Amino acid sequence: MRIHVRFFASHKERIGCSNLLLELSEGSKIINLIEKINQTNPGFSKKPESLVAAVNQEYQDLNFVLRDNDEVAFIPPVSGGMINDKNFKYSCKCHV
Amino acid sequence: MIKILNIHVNAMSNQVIITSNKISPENVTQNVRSNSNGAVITFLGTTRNETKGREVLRLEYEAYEPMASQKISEIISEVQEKFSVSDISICHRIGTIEIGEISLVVSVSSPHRKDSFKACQYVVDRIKEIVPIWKKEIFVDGEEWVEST
Repeated sequence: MRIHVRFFASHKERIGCSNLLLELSEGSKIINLIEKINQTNPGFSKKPESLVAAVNQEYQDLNFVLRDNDEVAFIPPVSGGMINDKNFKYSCKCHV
Repeated sequence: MIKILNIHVNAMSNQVIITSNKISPENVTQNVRSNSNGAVITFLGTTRNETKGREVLRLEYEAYEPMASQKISEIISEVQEKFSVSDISICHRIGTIEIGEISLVVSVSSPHRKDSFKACQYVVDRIKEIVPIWKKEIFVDGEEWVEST
């Protein structure tokens, strides 16, 4: 299946591009996508579990199972910042 | 003239604008005014000329635009459920923003002032938590994305 990947801000600078189109096997999760990106871009994430991702513009857990043509955006911590806090995790769940 | 990149207006006169042009706080404020409200609170986020003693030359904002608009709309619904407020208008500027310029305007109206004060602070805090908009500070001697890790 094909997954459209989007990078922003510091991620975009680290990877050197804003979009990738990657081929993944059926049933792959976001965490598998991160592993795949790390293979070609070893600097992307040393702590995959700390990444925040959105699938088709909704925040999702890294164990979320992807489907063909999904758009996965990796969201660096936002500017005002509580994105890595417990509060954020909680607010995430509200939207899932 | 403000170039509107993205706008959603629901049943109430709520408004979400993400723009690369200068923001008019008067227009954002005017959007939430009505005769049934006794209070209007407008918050302005402005660009500061220093961070921890380092001189900042300008800021650059980047957004994941469709998701940013959607999350701001969700915050508006959340606030209208939580507080007794009427209308909410939010305008976020992206791109290059010079020192002293406005990057964010949030206007909230309500029949009574306490609700608008509380709701306005809540909106700004939530924007900083869940809306995918990033800020880069350009210093005299380098540049950095502002991230809380």
